[in-house]
Amino acid sequence: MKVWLMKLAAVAATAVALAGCAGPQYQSLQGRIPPIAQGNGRIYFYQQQTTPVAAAQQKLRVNQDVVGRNKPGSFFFVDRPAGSYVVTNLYWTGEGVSFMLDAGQTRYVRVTAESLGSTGAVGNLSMELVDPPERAEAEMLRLRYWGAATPERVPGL
Amino acid sequence: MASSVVQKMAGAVRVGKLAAMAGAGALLLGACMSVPTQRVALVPVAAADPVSVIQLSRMVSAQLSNDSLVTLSAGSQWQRVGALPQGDAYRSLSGLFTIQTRRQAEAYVVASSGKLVGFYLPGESAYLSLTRPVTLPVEMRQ
Repeated sequence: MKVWLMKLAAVAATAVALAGCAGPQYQSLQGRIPPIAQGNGRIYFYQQQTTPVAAAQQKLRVNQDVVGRNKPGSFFFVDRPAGSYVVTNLYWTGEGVSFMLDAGQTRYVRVTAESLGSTGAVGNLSMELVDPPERAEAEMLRLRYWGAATPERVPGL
Repeated sequence: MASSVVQKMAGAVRVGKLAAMAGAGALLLGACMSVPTQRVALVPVAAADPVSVIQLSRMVSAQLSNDSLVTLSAGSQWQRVGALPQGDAYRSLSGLFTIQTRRQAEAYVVASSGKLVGFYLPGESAYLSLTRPVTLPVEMRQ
C-alpha cells in the first residue's frame, strides 16, 4: 500500500514537473509578467518554429552572459540595465543582433534555427530584431514561457 | 552487432562533418558580410540642449564596404542624440533602424557638413565609415 502511494506521488510529481516545462502561453500572462525595474530594459527571445527538425537548442548570450536557450514554440525574457547589448549564440559565431536598450524599453529578438537536413542537427542560429513591438507581441501570443537560465527565471510563471 | 556499431560511428562522423562544414560556411559568410568598424565613444546630447530633429525630403541610399545597400526612407525623421569625432549622430524616430553587417545592428546616422558620412552602432559602440559620403536632403529642422 505504502509503495503504491509512493509510486502515485512520483507520477503526480512528474506530471507537475512536465506541466511546468510546457509553460503558460504569452496571451495568458497579461498582468502576471512583472514590471521592468527602474533603470532597466527588457529583452524578449522567442522562436516560432515548431518543426521537430529544428528542436535542438543552443545557448544564447547577452554580452558576456549566457541567459538561456532557444526552444521552438517558446519565449523568455531577461531584464538588463539600460546600455549597449550584443546578443549572439554561445560561441559568438557571427550571427546575432546588437542594439541600445533604453531604460523602460523592451526589445524583441526572434530566433530561427536552421536545420541540417535529415540529421536533425541544428546549424546556424539566426536572430532578428523585431519592430514594432506590437508585431512581436502578436507573434508571441501562442508561444509558451520557457524560463531563462536559473538566475533569470521569473518565479511563479 | 559489430557492423551496427561501425554504422553508428560512421553516422556520427557524417553528422560531425556536416556540422563542421556548416560552421565553416557560417564563418566564411560572416567574414564576407563583415565591414570594418572602429571603436568610438559617443558624447550624448546634454539634457539641457534643445532637441534637434531632421526630416529627409527624399530617399537616400548608401553603399557599405561589403557592397550591401542601406536605404533611409523619404520622410524619415532623425533626432540628434550625440556627437562623434566623425560627426553628429542621429537616431531614428520612425521606428527601429538597422543595418546588416556581420550581424543585424541598430544604427544611428552620422552626418557632417550636410552629408551622411557613416553609421554609429550603439550596441557595439562602433563607427562604420562610408567610402563615399552621400548628401542628406534635409527638408525640415527643429
